[in-house]
Amino acid sequence: MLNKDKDGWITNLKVHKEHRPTIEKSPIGTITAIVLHRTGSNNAQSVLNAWKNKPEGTHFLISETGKIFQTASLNKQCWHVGKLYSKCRINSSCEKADAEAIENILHMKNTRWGKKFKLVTRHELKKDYPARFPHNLDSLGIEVVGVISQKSETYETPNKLQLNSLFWLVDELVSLYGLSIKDLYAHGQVAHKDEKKSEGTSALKAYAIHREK
Amino acid sequence: MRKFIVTLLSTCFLLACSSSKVINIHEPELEFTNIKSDFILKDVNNYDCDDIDVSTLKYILTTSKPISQIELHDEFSTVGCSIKGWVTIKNKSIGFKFDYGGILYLDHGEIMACGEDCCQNNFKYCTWEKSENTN
Repeated sequence: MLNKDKDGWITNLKVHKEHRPTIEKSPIGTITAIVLHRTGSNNAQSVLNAWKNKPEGTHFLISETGKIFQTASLNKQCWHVGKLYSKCRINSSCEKADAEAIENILHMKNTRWGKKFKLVTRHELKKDYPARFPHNLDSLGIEVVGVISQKSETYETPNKLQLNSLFWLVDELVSLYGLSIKDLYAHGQVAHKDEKKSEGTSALKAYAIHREK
Repeated sequence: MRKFIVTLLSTCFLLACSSSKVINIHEPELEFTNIKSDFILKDVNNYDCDDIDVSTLKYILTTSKPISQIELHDEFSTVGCSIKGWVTIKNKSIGFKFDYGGILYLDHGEIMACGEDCCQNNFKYCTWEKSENTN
């Protein structure tokens, strides 16, 4: 079982503390989910450097060699999710009034797409998880170093070292917070990221296979 | 020659093209000509996106700026409505895909996106935000 100190830091030799205070926000609520991300870069150092003065980031970062960094306290929110998809719209399970409200936002005239997505996100946040996708308020984020392949236009699959570290970390966090595999999400599936919704998807699929073993 | 002109005109008619030069405000050496697209919309999220025209593409090419994958990941959102086209840069015709989130993916790997200068006056094709928090 993973140990966490009172300040929200993992005390385990496999996890290296690289505190980035600028990515830490308000206290986090009950942790109900984990969101898997990809960095869009090919090395962890550039991400660690960028997070010295950026507001966005995740609680963990897994390097190209599988080294696990904890960059933010698990007691704090990080801005890592972005603008949510409507979960019930994707699953075709919205109640009528809910579906109408979402469509009204999406069809607003003379409105930026960014603004529409912000309004959809606010609408979704009125719902409790798991009726909506997880958000910064209630989820941990794990970034895995990796870029989008120009050929496939999808994120490359993490390498073996990265996957081994990811499996260990996710297993431990799932156990620590009493989560299930249903509480694991790929960032591309929950927020408006890459068009093919691939961010985190290959990592999530690999984890699901690992759990089945 | 006549056949060539007829072919060229009909191609322009079908694809909607613009031969006038567009200069990027951020990188003046970045010049775009022969902007072409069939404007066939791909809408992966069923958002019923409106059609786009060549003047909008010209505005985006003028005001967007080259960005890295990290910037794309952190500061922009994709809509999932996109069109494909071609543009000439340094005498080379390069394919592109434009996502309505203000993101132009050029086939040679460069990504240009509609950021601060482009997102003026409630410009519709804009998802740029310096900070992504939506709490």
